[in-house]
Amino acid sequence: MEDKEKDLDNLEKLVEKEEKVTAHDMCSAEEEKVNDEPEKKLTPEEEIEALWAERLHLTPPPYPEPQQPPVAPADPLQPPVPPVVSPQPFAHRPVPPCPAPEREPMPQTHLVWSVLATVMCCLIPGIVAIVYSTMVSSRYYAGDLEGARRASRMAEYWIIASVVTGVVAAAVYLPLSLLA
Amino acid sequence: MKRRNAYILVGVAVAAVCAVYFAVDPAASRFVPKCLFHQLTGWQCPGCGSQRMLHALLHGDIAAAWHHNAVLLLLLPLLAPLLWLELNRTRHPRLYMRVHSVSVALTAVSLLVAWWIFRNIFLS
Repeated sequence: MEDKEKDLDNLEKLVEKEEKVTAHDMCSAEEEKVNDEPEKKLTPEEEIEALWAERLHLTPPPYPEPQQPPVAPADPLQPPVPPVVSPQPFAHRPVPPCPAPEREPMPQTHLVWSVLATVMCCLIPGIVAIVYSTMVSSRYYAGDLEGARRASRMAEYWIIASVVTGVVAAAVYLPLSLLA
Repeated sequence: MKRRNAYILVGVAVAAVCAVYFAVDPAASRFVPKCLFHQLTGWQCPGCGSQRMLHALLHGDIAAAWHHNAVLLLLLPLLAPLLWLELNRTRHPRLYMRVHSVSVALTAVSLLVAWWIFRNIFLS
């Protein structure tokens, strides 16, 4: 009886031990699985590539790689969370060399020239040119860039007309003054 | 390159004009063109006397220059920075916007008209 009881006790202890061991083993196996996961990402080909990169002194780019968000210890039963898309895909886009101005520069108002044409040559075309010069800036301030460009061109034409009129008038006047 | 050419062109033109008006006295010469407005109406336009003013100024006679056309004499120093800005419009778009604003244009026009009226009433 005693022996049997002892045997039974031993058996029970053994069973307990076995259960414990198996449980421990499973736990450790799980832990190992978790630890292995990041390394498993490297396939043999990738490892070879990395080795070759080391051999060939292919240094990584000087700028720091965008840090991947730390991967939480994944539950092996759950599917892996898709990695957060880093902003790297946008890095290849061509960056403009300088920041573009917020607005197109104002078209030439020709104000200086129109005033000079008014004063130096003749009044009427010069005054029209001044009016168009003023319209350039007023339209530009109103946001009408195309209208400002048109007014700028008109101012230019009227300045030219003013100068031409002045030159022609002088050319006509000169012989008359010599005759008189 | 284009801008430098423009600088050279403006410089040559200014030098030529100065040389001509230094050598020729507009009051005495018959070949110098006269003001059409003055010929037709007998009144003085805002720019009348500018050639005589330039001649006097080039000969160092500030008082005579003031007498011939006072406002143009005062505005003459403004011409260089304005022309510089005209050539550098795309480099300084904000400055150009400020200088060529509507208010500045209206001020210039009203100043010109005021000078036109003033000189015909008080200085004739």
